[in-house]
Amino acid sequence: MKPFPGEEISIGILGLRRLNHVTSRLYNFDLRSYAATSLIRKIEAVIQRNHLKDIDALIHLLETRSSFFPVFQSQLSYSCSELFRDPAFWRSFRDDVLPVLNKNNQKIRIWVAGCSSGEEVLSIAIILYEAGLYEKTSVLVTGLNELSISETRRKTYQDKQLEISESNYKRFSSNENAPISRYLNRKDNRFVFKDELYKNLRYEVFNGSETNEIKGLHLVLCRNYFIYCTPEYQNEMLGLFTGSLLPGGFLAIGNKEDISFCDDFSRYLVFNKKEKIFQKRPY
Amino acid sequence: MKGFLIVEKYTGDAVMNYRLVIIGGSAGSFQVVNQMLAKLPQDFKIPIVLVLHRLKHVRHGFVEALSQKSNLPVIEPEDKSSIRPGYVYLAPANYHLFIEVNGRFALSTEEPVNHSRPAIDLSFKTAAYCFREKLIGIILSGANKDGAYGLKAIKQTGGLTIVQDPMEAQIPVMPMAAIERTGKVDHIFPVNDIFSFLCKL
Repeated sequence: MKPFPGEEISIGILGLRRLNHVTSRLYNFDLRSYAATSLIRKIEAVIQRNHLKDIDALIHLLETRSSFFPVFQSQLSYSCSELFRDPAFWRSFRDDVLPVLNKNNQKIRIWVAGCSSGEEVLSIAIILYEAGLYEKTSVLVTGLNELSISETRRKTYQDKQLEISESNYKRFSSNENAPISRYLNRKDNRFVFKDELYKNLRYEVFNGSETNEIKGLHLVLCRNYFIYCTPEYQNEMLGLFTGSLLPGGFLAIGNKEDISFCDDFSRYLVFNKKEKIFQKRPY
Repeated sequence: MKGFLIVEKYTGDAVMNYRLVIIGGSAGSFQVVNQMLAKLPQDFKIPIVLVLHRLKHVRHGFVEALSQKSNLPVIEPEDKSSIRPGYVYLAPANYHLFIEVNGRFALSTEEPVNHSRPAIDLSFKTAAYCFREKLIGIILSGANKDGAYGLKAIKQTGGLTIVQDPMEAQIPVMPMAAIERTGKVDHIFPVNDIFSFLCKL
């Protein structure tokens, strides 16, 4: 039996506090906005991945080598996803949301927020491409730092990693004869998604605390990001999204996420209850 | 954690106040859980968390199937929701289910553990951390070893550990692994004894 992930490393709440003291003081990075259990697991993974002995070794590294901080931040925000996760969501997005966005002959502006893995971005790019809307859409993708952005923007995949995405895509398109592989190029033993899909994607660093607001959006796609936030930070981030969206703009969150406890909840209409798509009230 | 009804049970001279029952199972456990939900009384107050391996792309239908004969309401918890007495919570498809340090549910999309998402080990371990000796952990039939470390964690933090009798389980791999890893589980019960044990709480 393999050891239970993180069984030997136990950092607890006290370790977390000491670590946060360092990241806040030296790098202005406050860990208190993250949900504790996930954060502890992710820090344990960072410790293992960098072959460190314990949390003290991690703290020491962050104190003495500032070049390690972006690595730490990027590994912390890393998540592994699949393309077209929840095919029913993407069908609703294609059939119900896109027609509304496409009503006026305007440019469609989308923000894929809190996006630590590139799969949500690629899913949306493929849908826009298939709907013939790719050219008139600008997609903003934000990550915590340059390193995590560069790691997600031209991700390569192994055959096996794409199996789930392939079956999701088939469920989404209901077309057995149109595999997702037509969007792939082979690169040595791995696969990359074709350049066309990346053409209108704009990547930017966004750490949540910045004051330069993102305005005038038609859609904020933010699925399975709030699960890693404390309720307070989620509330704050939702406020930021509300401010970014145009009246009538859409917000999509993960199908088991909840915003009903947030201050701004009343500013949204429920557009699709099951798939957790909300529409900002027009007034 | 206000709002919990304290249920008392005599074990010798000690009074135990269990506040959560967490159950893990995989292949062969669905029938057992279904029977259990039919047998537990309507006024069973201790919240129950079910972490059952399930098809990741089938999000709907499982709650409905479990609800059919259940005397208790079965729901899939949403992120950050609180754990309320009288409810049965089913871990949703394609997420890990954690008990957060504040006693609420938390979800995660981190990689599968033991090829599973939800992974029983993770739910059990986080529940053990939060509920300690107020927790009952139960492992049912299953074909992989997920849950073994989790049950051990419950044992280590003073919780009560129960495993379905491997002789009786449809697939004994999961119960066997849990017994082996935990060392000395508190009870190895056939399902009927698990039911009557819970009903007496």
